[in-house]
Parts: sequence; C-alpha cells; structure tokens
Amino acid sequence: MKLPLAERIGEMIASKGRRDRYFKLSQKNIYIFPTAAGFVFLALLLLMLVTAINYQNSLIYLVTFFLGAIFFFSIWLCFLNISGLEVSSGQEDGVFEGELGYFSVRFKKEEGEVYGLKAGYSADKMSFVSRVNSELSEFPMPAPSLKRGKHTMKRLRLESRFPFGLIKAWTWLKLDAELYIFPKPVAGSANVSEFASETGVNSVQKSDEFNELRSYQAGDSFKRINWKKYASSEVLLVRDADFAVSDASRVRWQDYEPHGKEERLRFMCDRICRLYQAKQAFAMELPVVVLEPDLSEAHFHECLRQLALY
Amino acid sequence: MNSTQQTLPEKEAFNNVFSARAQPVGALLLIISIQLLSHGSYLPLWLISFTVFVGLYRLLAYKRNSRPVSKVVKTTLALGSCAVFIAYYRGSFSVEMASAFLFLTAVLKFLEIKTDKDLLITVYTMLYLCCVSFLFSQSIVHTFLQIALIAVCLYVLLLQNVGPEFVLTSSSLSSLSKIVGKLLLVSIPLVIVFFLFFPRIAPLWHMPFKTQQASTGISNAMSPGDIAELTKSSEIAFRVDFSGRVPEKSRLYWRGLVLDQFDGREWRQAIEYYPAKRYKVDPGELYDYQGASYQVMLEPHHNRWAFSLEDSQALSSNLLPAEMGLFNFKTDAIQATRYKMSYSESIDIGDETLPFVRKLSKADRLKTTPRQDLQRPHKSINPRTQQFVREMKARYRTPESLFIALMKHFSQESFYYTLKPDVAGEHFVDEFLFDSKKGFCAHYAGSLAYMLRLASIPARVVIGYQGGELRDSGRYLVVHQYDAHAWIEVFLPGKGWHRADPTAMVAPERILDGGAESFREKEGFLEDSPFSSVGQHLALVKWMNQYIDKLSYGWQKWVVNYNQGEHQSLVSSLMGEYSLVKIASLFAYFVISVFVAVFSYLWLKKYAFKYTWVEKKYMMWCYLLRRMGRQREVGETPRSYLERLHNNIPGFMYAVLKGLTEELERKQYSS
Repeated sequence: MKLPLAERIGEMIASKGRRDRYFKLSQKNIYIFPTAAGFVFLALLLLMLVTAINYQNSLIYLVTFFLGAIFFFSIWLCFLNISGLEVSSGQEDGVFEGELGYFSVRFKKEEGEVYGLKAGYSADKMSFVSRVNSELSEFPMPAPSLKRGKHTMKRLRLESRFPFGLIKAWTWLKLDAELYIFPKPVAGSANVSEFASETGVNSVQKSDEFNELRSYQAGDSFKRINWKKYASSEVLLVRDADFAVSDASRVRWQDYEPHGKEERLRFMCDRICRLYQAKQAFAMELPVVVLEPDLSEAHFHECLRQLALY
Repeated sequence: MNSTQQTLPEKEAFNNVFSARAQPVGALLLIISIQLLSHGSYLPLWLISFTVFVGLYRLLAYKRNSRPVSKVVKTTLALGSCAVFIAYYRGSFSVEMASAFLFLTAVLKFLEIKTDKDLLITVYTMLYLCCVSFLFSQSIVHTFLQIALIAVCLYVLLLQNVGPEFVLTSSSLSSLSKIVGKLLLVSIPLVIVFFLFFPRIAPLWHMPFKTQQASTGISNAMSPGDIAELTKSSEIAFRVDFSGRVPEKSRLYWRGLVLDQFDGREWRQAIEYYPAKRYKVDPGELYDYQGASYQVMLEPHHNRWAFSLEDSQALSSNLLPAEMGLFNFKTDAIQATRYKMSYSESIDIGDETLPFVRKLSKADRLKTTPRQDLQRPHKSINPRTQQFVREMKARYRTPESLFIALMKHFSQESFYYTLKPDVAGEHFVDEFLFDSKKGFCAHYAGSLAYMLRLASIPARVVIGYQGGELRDSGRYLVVHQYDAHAWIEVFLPGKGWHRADPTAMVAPERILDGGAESFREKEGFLEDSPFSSVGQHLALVKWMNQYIDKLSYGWQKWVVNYNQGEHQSLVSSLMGEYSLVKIASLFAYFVISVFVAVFSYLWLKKYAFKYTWVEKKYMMWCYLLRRMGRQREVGETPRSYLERLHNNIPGFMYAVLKGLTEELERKQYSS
C-alpha cells in the first residue's frame, strides 16, 4: 500500500533519527495532519459554505463557522494530547525460540492523560494502549520475528486521533528496546560423556522427566510457571530442580560435534537450563567466547545471550 | 522454561474490550430524534413512522444484544423505502425532497451501522441535515436545538477516538466532557469573528427553490370564507420598522395581491405576474434613502409576493416591481426576508365625504390589458345584483356618484360584520347583498368590485393586511395573520385609481382600532390559538409575549438577516473603505493573535504557580477577615491566627475557619 505523502515524509524524517532508550514527545517529533475523515469533514464544510452562500442563509454560515472552529481547535487538542508523553524502553529477559516475545514499552505523561493512544509498527496495524497518565505504565509490543538472535525493536509508531478523529498526531520512534531469543532447549547427548560419568548423572534425559513440579511460592520467576498446567488445573506450579550436581560442569561447543549449528546450540541451551535449575555451577564454551564457571542468574542469562548471539 | 503466555491473557482481554466497544446507540437515537423534531414539519408521514420503527428496532436489538439486521432484511427495507420515496415524490424536485432523501439515507445507514465508517457517514449526514434544517426554520429555539445536535454528534465522534477504557467508564467521561466543553467555549469568539467578518458573497449559482411547504397567510385566490379563516391565527405575518413617524392605522393598507378575475364565487389572479427569469437568492441589499422609508421583516410565507404600503418604491435589491404598483421577490420567501421601501407621508384623500378612500398614483397596469378590470362572470349568475346595479346606474349618472352611492349602500342598509359568515350557494352575491347581509371583508370587497364592474367602472379586489400593532414603545409594528384584509381599487374617469374600503362603511372600528381590538368579542377570533387569546388578559403573559417577540425580532434582524450589506457597513465603519484585502489582513491578524494567545496561555500555565482549591478558599477567608479588621499578621501561621481569632469572630465563622485550617495543615504536612 502506498502511503500518503504526509506519512512518507514523517517516515523519512524518522528513519534518520537517533535510536534512544527514552523519548519525550514535543513539537520536535510529533507530526500532525488531517485524517481521511478530517478531509471529508473539510469537504463537508465547503459544501455547507456553498449552501450558505447560495441560499444566503446566515444560520448555515453560523453552523459552518462553528464546525470550522471546532476543527481548528481540535488540531491543538490533538497535539497537546500526546505532547509531553514520555516513552522509554523497559527490561525484557528474553524468550526461547518458538515463544512469543514482547518488547516492553513504558509510557508516562507528567500532566493529564493521553486519550486514544495507539501503538504499532505500521500505520495500518495499530492497537489502543490502555490508560496512559502520570503513573508509569508498561505496554507489551509483540516482537515480529521468532528467530534466534538479538532483536531490536522496529520503529515504533504512536498515534492519537483525539478528540474527534479529524486530526491525527503521530510520531515514529527508534526506541532502543532489545529482545533476545534464545535457542529452543532440546535434549541431546554430548559426545564426550566424561562429566556425566564422573558425576554419575545421566545428562541424556527426556525433557519431560527433567521437570519436577512444586507449587508456586512468592519470589519464583514467572518464567518457571508451567502455564499449560495452570490452564488445565488452575494451580500455579513451578518447575523445580530435581537433582543437585556439585561438580563444575562445562558445556562445550565441540562436545556436540556431528550436529549442525542450530541443533548444537539447542542442545547446549537445554544443558545449561538443566544445570542452572539444578543450582550447579557451570561453564560454557563457544568458539568465540568462554564463560567461566558460575551459578548466578546473571551468568545464566549471559550464557543464554551468547547462545542467542552466536 | 516457558514464558510464552505471560502477557497473552492480558492482551486478549484487551482485544475483547476493543471489539466489544459499545456503539453509541443512545447518542445516535438522540441525534435522530432531534432531527425528526426539526424536519418533521415537512417529512411525509410514512418516513416519520419508518424512522420511529428503525429507532425502536435498534433500541430493542441493542437492549437484547441480538445480532445485527440480516442482509436480506436490510436490502428489502432499503429498496422498499426507496421505492416508496420515488412513488411519493414522483420526480418533483424540491428542497424538501432532497433533504427527505438525505434523511432517509441517514436512517438506513443507522439501521446497519457496523463499522466506524458507517457511523461516520451517519454523523456527517446528520451534520449536513442540520444545515439544511435552517432552510425551513431560523428561530432561536431551532438554532439551540441544532447546536445541541452538533454537541451530540461531536460526543459520538469523541467516543470513537478516546480509546476503549474511556468508553467503558462513565467517570472518565466527565473529564472528557470538560475538555470538549472548554473547546466549545473557546470556539465561540472565533465563530463570532468569522460570522461578522467573513466576506458574504453573492450566490454562486441558482439553487432549486420550489418548496412544497404549505404557504401561510393570504393566498392568490379569495373564496368568501378565506380571510375569515386567517382571523383564527395569531401568527406574525411581518414586522416593520419605520424611519420616521408611523402613519395612522387607517393609512396602513399593506397591499399584497390584486385579484382581478371573478367567476361568481371566487376572486383570483388573472395572470401570475412573476418574471420568467430564474433568479439566484438575493442577499437583500438595502439602498440608502433620505426620505421616509420602512423596512419589513417578513416571516417566510413561501410565496413570491411582497407587502407594501400604497405608492411605495423598492429600496432593496431583492424586490422586483410588478404590475399595478405591486412587488415580488426574486425567489420564494422561504426564510425570514427583509426588504426596504419608501413611502409618501402626504395625505391625499379623494373625497372628503368618504373616509377610507385614497387616490393612488402608482396603481396603473403597465403590460396587461386594462379590460381585465371590467371582466365579469356569466350573465346568468346573480340576477338580482345585476338588476340592482341597473337601477342604481339609472339614478346616478356619473361613475363617481354611482361609486359613492354603492359605498354608502353598505352603511345605509343593515349590513352586519361577522367572522363567521353563512356559507352561500350559487348566487352568492345575491344572497349576501339581499338576504343574509352578514359578511366579512372578503364579502364586502368582492361584491362591491363586482357591482362596479357591472356598472362598467373598472374595479378589482386587493388583498393584504390592514393595520398592525405597535410594539416596544412604538419602535416597531407587528402585523399578525388576523390583520389580513380585503378591499377594492376603483378607477374613476379623470381622477385615476382609488383605494376604497367597503368594510369601513360597515365596521369602521376594524380600520380605526385594528383587527385584534375589533374582533375580540367576535366568535371565531383566534380559534386556533387558544393560548394567545387567554394570554391577552394576563399582564405577565402579555409582557412575556412582547419580550419574546422583541427577542425574536432582534434575532431576525441581527443574526438571521446579517448579510452582505451589514457585513460591509460593519467593516467600513471599523476600517474605512471596504476591500477584500483588508478583510484578508484582518483575518491574518486574528489567526496570528489566536495562536499567540493560546501559546502564551499554555506557556503561562506551565510556569504559573498554582494554588490548590483549599489554599484559594483559605485566602478568600483571610481577605474577608481583613475587611472585618482582623488581619492576619505577617509570618503568623494559620494555627496561631486561628487561636488568636478564637473569641473575636462569630462562632460559625470560627467553625469554618477551623475546618479550613485543619484541612490546610493536613494537605501541607501530609506529603
């Protein structure tokens, strides 16, 4: 679909803009233009004016000017509505391949409220953002791609047609929001089973057996909740480690030799998840990076990120 | 590890809210009802009932949350109503037909509203219908009704654009209506400036103008009972401003039409003396005139004729001189129309012995044949009258003496003036003159003109209004429908045309005191307007009526008829000579100053120090106490001030101040 000129100019300017974690909307980055409905409204006003002239009817003049004034002032209202809106990117841990990922976008407006705010990646696919006011609110923007890797958010379009849908004020923001999509954990066997034999733990397990469920406690990560179980039984269950490994484990790229790149990463990911859940310190080796043994959450995430990036 | 569905439930709920966004059925029904009320006067009954049906249907469907109308039903209704529409109007094009069609489309669209686009079409159509409605009514009440309609339309548009959560809660709507209220208030000055200064241009092209609306007031045919019918109505026909002294009532003969064709029962126009040319709507420019003049503000009567005093001359551009000293408008008077005329203040009575006879200087025929004034119906009708005229003619040899004798006949014989004359048969003039002798002005004028024609004296019937009521301490004259009157014009050889009023011979009080006074006791007067006849007796109601009339006259003069002339004189009084360049620069200055004003307001608001409501209230009280001589010292805290005042001020004030102080302290130190 070919975009109207005003939209194209807006996009062109926005594409040259800087990428940032925080934006405040002002006359510098807000575009404002009549909508299609607004142009029809203007045509209607013209028709009314011609009617007033041809019938020499003062009251039709009056109505025309009244509606004209409303159109005129709704330009201001539309601008003031989204002016001062603060947009920033929130923190997202990342998701595994095949899951739906969301970028976190945060909205805030110091004074007043933003009415009818819509967000989206393109002008024709926008959805309403609920209540934006002086309290910070978070809005999940779906990530379009499901592929492994590090994704930065596409240019974000924010739009409002408040008050009467005659005028639209919009902006394009290159918001610095990131989302890591980690390899999908798939159980697989390592060629070198020295660690497994040393520790006496069979690392090749079916992933179903891998999980043991216990009931949810405050402080547990949402990501560990078994949502499928929740949907069927309405009981919050959390995956728990079922075994503890005291030795340092090394998850190495070369151990999964004969498989392809993606498969290897998936196996490694699965292994890391298990080790982390087992509260075992582990190290990870990729051809480009070696991460020393640790059992902290930060370390775990760093490993996942490296897997996503490789 | 599965974090997939963490945000999904929320998202789905959100989408559901969005799709279930309630259509503003209530607001739309309100819009349709307002338009039904404003357009109901000319809409055909079937369309009104169809609208009511659709409205109720939608309401029920909404209440029961049932599925939308099926396609088959929709198509059937649309095709059916269009077929009825075509059959009803049968190709006759008029303003009513066009706006009825718009109305029908809006109603049909309302039936099937599903998307935002449908809604938009309905709302826009309604906004245009709002404009069209002003072609049919220009009253203050109607204007306010239409402004309310615009407000509801804006409300509907607003609901479509504020996002779902505001639609669902009513509390957030109050903050929204505040914003919109502010918007409307801010627009008022802009609207006023545009209304006053936007150049008023002449019509661009000819518009369809023939309306089917029943005309009010006198018509171009006069049957015996016609004018008596009008005495039932207290509606206003027109209002008049005189430049100088208002002439005496007996001189206020407002000529409307000359009826010169008589068929034995009914007088009518032989030819409709309208110009063949199709005119655009004239803005009604008023010309300057030094001598005595008057301005008429005519209530729309949906006809071409204008009312004028005898021997008047047109002083406004919307008038066209017609035959026999009459005037026509360029287009049908479908809206309140103002025109200006000159008149001569000199009193020229043809015959001292006969009051209510006056010589006319501008009543001659110009294009049509003068023989028309001698036309009479077939010989077999009214034999007794013919016999009577032959006898009279034998006694009075000159036309003038015969005319005077016939006039005097009405006062000498026992004629009776009544608003409810008998319904007469075939020889209507015979029955009236010799049997019943009871009649209204139409009977006297019609039979006198007939008798004069039988005597070969050119004569014709004139209908219009006579007299009027002075309002607002004599500042303007109001002519009501019950002032409708018929009289004759007679041609006396060597002396020219004269106006003569046979009614005055029978009931001179009709002319001297006016319609309202002379009819008061008569049966049938104001029969159709019971409220106004009741009101005549109550001083308060009378005063209110007068006040309302003054208001609506002012509205007609300053708003409805604000046009090119007023616009130009306003601009030139402010800026010297009128020119479009000046107007353009004025608008440029205005728009710039509005921008500057709004931005400086916003800037000031941003940096201005704001007091809370409690602080404002407290400061008001401090001011009040200072006026009482109990000033708060510099540096004194509210608490110590309160303690100091404890026994110095009345108890109730102390209580209020105590409450305020406590609230203030709570606000100040809580956060």
